[in-house]
Amino acid sequence: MSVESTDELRAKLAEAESIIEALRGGKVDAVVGDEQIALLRLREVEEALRRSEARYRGIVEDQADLVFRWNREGRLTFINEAFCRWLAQTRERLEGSHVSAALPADTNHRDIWAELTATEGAERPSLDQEEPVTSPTGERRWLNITHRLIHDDEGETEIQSVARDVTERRCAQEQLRELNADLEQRVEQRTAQLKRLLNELDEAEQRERRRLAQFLHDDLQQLLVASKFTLTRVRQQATDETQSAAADRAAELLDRSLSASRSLMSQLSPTELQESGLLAGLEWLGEQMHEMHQVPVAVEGDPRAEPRNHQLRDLLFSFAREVVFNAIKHARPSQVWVTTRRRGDGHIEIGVRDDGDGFDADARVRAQQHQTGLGLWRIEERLQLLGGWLEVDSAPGAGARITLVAPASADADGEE
Amino acid sequence: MSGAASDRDATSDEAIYRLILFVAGREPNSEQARTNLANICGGHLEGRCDIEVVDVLTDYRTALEHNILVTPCLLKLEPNPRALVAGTLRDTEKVRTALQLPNKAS
Repeated sequence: MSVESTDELRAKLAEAESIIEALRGGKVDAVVGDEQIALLRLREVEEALRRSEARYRGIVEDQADLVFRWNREGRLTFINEAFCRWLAQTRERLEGSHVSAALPADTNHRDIWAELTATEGAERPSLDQEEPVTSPTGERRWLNITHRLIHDDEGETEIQSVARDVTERRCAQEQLRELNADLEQRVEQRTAQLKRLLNELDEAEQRERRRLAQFLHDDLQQLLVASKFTLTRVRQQATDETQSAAADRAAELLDRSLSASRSLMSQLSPTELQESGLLAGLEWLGEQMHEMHQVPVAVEGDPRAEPRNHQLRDLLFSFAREVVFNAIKHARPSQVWVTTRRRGDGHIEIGVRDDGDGFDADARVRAQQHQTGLGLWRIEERLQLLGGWLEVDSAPGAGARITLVAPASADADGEE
Repeated sequence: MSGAASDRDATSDEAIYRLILFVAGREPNSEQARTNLANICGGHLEGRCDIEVVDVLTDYRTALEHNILVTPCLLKLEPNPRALVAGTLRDTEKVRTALQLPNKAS
């Protein structure tokens, strides 16, 4: 074994120092081992990390949202510029301070920890809250905050919270809600107005019918009877055949006028309806229809199905009359059945069934759009305003059943 | 005396420098070392440098033979004594001193 000279030892020491210095200064690319080369790219990795962090920080700092991280004790470990602006304080003052300044007044940071750690099994446990807060300038603002549990490589756990000022959205929602409420109120008012107007219209029609019927009964028919009485006396005093024949002819005309007047009076306001109620009115209607159109109309009724007030009674009668008339006019039935009954839910039901041609019930909607089914549509609308409804069951060749339903206790103004 | 000294300088001035630069591919520090060595040799040593570049990624045995542990690393084989500088060779004066190259001013 040779003894190395001092110079050789110094040279080796210089080599070792040079290597150590290069390693410390990060000037080394690779380490040469026995059988392999280990590349050292620490500087590159560090640079990449630095760039990445700068990018991340840039994104976070540019956010309009408030971004802040805090630990289990509630101490802030990271905040962005938006957060500092919101609290109108410097970063130095805020870092390390307590998170409660950034949370809604009634929110305890321990509750957030507890809730997030309880859901830690989830892929990315998070918690959302939207609460009103008072800003440092005294304004009442709405914040939407998402809290998320974050674990770093060293096993430290923090919560990252991202808060967004959603005051504008909340105000818009509130305005929309107020507008909707206002609109609903106006629709309600208009509907009530419409109900009143329709009611007044119905009432006016019925009143006019009764007035005309009264006039026919009290005035015209009395005059016709008196005329006939006078004519009878003239007939008795006739001196020749010509005068007698003319008087007979005039008497016949007076009889027909009297009959037409009585018929018109019944049409306008059936005495049976006014004096005995809906069922009696419908029975009279059946007889009238049979007589006029030679179609039997069977009426079967429930005495309990009597409307509480005369206006509803007259209205339901007029609806039933229109439906029966339509059936006879359009469906060419051999028989029509009218039934009334008191339903278990307190409603009155009038059913009009025929064995005529029938029609496509679904097409009725389209027909209404072309106003061909306006009669049924008008009845349906009116029933709905009263709190009732209309049912149509029909098919081509299978007859039809129209059911009118109205609350028995519906008042004249349409309210139950 | 001055003559003898002059003779040694003359011998030193005329000596051929056998250098090996160990690098690791095109890694950044190795690239800097290539550039810096070219600058050093392009000065007063022009025409007297015999430089071999060994890439340890393709030939690590040569590095092992010369007990090279890290790259980049410059090894002076001749003239004696052997000397070694690790790193990017950025500090030119340090390299000249370590390799006992002639003073820049001479």
